[in-house]
Amino acid sequence: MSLWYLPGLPLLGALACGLLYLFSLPRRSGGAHGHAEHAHGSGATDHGHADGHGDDHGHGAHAVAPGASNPLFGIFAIGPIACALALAIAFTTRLIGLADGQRVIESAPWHWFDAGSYQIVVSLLLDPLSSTLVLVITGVGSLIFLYALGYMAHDEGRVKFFAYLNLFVAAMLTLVLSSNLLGLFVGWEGVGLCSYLLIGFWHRKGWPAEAGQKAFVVNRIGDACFVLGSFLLLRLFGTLDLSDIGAAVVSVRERPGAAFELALAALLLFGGCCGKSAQFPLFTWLPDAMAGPTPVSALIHAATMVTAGVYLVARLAPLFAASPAVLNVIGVVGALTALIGASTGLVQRDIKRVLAYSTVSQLGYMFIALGCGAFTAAVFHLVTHAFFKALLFLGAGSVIHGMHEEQDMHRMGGLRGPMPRTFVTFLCGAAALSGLPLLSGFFSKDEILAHAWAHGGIGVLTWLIGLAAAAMTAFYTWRMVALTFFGNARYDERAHPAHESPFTMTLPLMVLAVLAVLGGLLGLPPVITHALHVPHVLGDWLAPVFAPALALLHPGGPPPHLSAPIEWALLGLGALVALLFAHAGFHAYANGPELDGRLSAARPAATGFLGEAWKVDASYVRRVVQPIQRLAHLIATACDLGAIDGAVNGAGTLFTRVARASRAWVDGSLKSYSLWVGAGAALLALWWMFV
Amino acid sequence: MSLGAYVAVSAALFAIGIVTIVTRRNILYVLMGIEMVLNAANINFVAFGRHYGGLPGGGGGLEGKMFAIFTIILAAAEAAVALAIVLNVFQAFNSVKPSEADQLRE
Amino acid sequence: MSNYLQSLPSIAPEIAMTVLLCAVLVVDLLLKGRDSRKVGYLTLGGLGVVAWLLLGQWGELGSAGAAKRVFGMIDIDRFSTFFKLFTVGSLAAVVLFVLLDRRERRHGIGEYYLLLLGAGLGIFFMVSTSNLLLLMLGLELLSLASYSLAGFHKGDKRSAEAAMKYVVFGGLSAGVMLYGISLLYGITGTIDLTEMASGPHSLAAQFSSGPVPVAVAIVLVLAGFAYKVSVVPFHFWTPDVYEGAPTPVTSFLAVASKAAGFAALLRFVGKLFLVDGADGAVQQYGARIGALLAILSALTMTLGNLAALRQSSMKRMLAYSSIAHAGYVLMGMATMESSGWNAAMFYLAAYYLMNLGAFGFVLYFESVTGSDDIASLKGLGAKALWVTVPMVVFLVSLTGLPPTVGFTGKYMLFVAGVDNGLLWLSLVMALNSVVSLFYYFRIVKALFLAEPAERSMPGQSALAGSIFVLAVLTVLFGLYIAPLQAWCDASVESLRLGAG
Repeated sequence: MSLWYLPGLPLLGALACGLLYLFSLPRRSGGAHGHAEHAHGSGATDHGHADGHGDDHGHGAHAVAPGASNPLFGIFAIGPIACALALAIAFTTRLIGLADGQRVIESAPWHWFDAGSYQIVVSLLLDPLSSTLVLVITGVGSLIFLYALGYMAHDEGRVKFFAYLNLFVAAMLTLVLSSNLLGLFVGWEGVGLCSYLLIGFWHRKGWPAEAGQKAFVVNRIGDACFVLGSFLLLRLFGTLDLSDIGAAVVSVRERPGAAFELALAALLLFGGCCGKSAQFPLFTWLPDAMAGPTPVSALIHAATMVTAGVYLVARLAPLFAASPAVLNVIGVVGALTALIGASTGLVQRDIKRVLAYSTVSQLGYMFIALGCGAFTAAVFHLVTHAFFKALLFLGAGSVIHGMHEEQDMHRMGGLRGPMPRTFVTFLCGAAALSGLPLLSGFFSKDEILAHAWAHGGIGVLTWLIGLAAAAMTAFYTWRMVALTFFGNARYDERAHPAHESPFTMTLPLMVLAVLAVLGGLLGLPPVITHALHVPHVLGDWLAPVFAPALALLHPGGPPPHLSAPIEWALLGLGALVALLFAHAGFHAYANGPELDGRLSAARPAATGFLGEAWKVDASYVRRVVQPIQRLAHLIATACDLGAIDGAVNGAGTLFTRVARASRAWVDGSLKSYSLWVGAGAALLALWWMFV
Repeated sequence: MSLGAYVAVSAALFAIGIVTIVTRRNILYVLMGIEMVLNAANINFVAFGRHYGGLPGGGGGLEGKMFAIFTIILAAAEAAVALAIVLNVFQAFNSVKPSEADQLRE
Repeated sequence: MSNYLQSLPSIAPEIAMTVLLCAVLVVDLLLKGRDSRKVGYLTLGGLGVVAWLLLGQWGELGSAGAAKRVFGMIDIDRFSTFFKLFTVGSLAAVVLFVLLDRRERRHGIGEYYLLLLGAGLGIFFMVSTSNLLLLMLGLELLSLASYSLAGFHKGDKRSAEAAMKYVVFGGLSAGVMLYGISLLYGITGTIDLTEMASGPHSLAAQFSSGPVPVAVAIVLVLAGFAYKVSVVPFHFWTPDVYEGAPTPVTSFLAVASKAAGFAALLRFVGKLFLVDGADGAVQQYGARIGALLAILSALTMTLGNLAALRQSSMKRMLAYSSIAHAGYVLMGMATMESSGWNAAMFYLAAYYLMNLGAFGFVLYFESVTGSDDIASLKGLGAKALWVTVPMVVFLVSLTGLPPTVGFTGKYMLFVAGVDNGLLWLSLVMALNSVVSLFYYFRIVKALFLAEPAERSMPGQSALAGSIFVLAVLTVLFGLYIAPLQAWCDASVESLRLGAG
């Protein structure tokens, strides 16, 4: 089996769903095709407004949702990613079977094309790092696909939805598997496209389309940096192969003047990561991206796509390790983002926006880890975050589903009664996110903070900010839990009773809850592994991948471990902060959202500042968007209308005149034609001989 | 006769043929002009064939002579097709003057 | 004699083609013209066999790694197989067009297929020989069949006029070319291109002693080729004939016939001027030819595009567009370097795909609207998405925009031009591409940006299907370039090997 099957299967799924959707669209009368008169073609419009709500989605559903009645739809939708998951497990098992340090599976190379001396060869590469990501993508992805089948059961575009979702998985797998920066970029843009399509999936509502555009445009800034960084790398290394770049970093750095260009390239690539992984100053698109269906938020905007930036830095770890200044920038940006995200989450009312800002802040943690060279810790947090944040999003989706599309937590409350399964699983996710002791989030977050502390210098600053953000995280998480599931019901229980979601939706919740609780076992802190003689599973698995980068970062051998007392103290501090603020958050809101009202009355400026994410968006509008609009208007009137349109239209008129004038010579008669031929031949011969 | 004389005759024939094609209004004359051009080439082939036939390594000049024979066949086939087309034009336009068939133009 | 028998398998495709031609003739006679569709299916099947034989030959050439010459005049190499395969492909497409077009069916008697096959056989010989006699015979076989095809709609004034113009210009240029060949024979004493390049009276030696006769001879022969591939100023027949001829014939003339002309031109110039390790004289006059081709290229693409701007007939517009594309291919040739020739080959392959598709579209709409006027397309875009969307793909490709094969081809030509000191020509090409955008997208505008028309579109799923397949290929080869590129490289490589 070739690695190409991994992205290939979801791609096939996307094609199959897409074709299914296209072929079952209702035909307009007098369609172009010979066999336009499909059996259900005319019926579609008649039943088009049949209300297919309630739990039955058999009858009449096919008229509403093109293609969904086809028995193949379920297979096309879920089958590919399930097979991809099985394949990923098989490949990882094979990888485990290989000797330590030789754990690489490479696919047959694909010669895309030759551009002169530069050949573009794309191949896929599976090593411990990419296998971890692939498992997360296909594993969490499968669960989310299953959930989405239930969540989107009443949506008329669900076949199209699954076509996009499959396409996304294909692109994401291409991103993490490519051995080449160009292939990675194809995946990078592919996931961006799918993100855009899925954020704006309900584009008829208006604002989701705008949110999609915002995500797309903000990401273009990052992608421009990415492309520039790639060009610089190509110039420095003469190749875009990721492992070749990693291997050649040391020799290239020796060249005079190359260190600066190396750092610049790393910084530009990090700019790309800022866009994709929603870091300051480009994070503003992610909260708006919650306009998409909730499974999309869980899969793309929490578990997988937004971690692509983390993956890129980890993948090119030697490059970044060669420029410590850039690592410091990454750490500071990450800390700042973590702080902005967490503090903004404190005052949000929309449950999905709380989770969105939480995602921003958790991604900040991952970049804090990368900034202090703790690549394993970053990947560890990536994995646990994928578990518990996907769980929280799906739980929120379940709540929204049960509340009939209500997202405002002020109009929820007391849902633990009607939605018991959602409630319990959501609790697990919340506990993991807030870092309550012994859950997955606790271990991964504390590993990051310990590394930041051990890093010293600027690391201590990031540690301090990280700790503050952890406190806020615990607070807003339990505020969310209290507002949603506790207190009195603040909605009309009789008109719209909340109901538990179907089994297809709660099953993924339960599986993810188990993972969120137990995920910490992948990376226990050194004091515990020493005491219990168990391995740091993820750390050992990834060690060969990051060894070159760490050797570059610490030329004098690995730095000494923190002493056990300090480590215990840090762990204890983390646990204490989490418990304390979780308690505070929960009890402040256990009886209702009154505190929010009092706060905004007492300190309107502060809550407004936090509520709008430190007014970053507003300042963009004032400082960037509006000046650009003014400039664009100027260009449009002065340059475009005047100069360019004038030139184009002028050229058009000129050509027309020339063509009209030449008509007299081209009068359709043989005589004039023959004259031209004779004269042409004579002229050519004369030119040959005498010019 | 020297080779030059043959080539001169052929060049003259070629020129006459081209002028005929360009100046004549009747399609039949135009076709005759084409025949003249083809036969100008033929004279060349035969003359050069004879010339190279007398030289060592010229292959007996056979290539030129063969070419001439094939050209005659070509000319015949072309004339046949051309006359059939002219017949068709005559039926459509009631004329054999190219200037009167001018439906296709800018 | 035994030598001859042993050589026969090498020309199996040609033999199969001849047998097919005879079979079509006999079957049509037996059927007495009653059911010409059967003849069409027979033709398609036969073409399948020929394609299979050609593929086998291609494989053999790959394993043996060398070209060979049989009967002293037929070169069996990758270059010729490349063009033969594309010829068979476009013949099959044209036969399909004839079969599927209801209007053609009225005229669609068996001779249609017979003549197409004859023209194809002519192409087979002219692309695979460096013997000027065989080249001339192949060219004339192609031409004679094409004249008859152009006038196939008996009683249709336009068809008759097209045929007349075609035969007169064809005859004129054949005569001119033949006269040039006779001079070349007189100068070098041989009619074989390889010997002409290297023999005792090699062209290079003759050129240094007396350049004038050589120049006249070469220019006369080039004029003949220039007529066949419609290079300015030998292009005047093209729009008239393309417009007047039946549309399937037009697509054959524009695609297969023109590409075959290019194949012969490539071989002619390649054998004589693209010689490895050439001495000073050859190099000098090779550069001369390159400069000549560059001038012709610039003239051809510019005039072709400018004239296309103001056309209202789609066929006439595509005729001028095909002239412009000939200019692009010439630009690749003008570099006189392998990279440029590879790009030219690639562009020819792209040209096959996108032009066949575009003409298929014209045919589709002609059968619906009864004319090939661009204005009559107004508002039909949404009525037949399975055809109009592919048409947009072809137009995008013809303009040279990604992600299509036309873009890749133009990109390669551009790079080859810049690399080989033809920056000015590359810029002319870029400007021309911009100009071409204006007229290509007039069709898109008419299709999609007008009020939806009331007219209903009767379905022709088979025709639509073949157009769709061409569109898929156009995009596929635009993205997945390596195989086609390798194919072109191998073809040009075999041309150079043969020249050594």
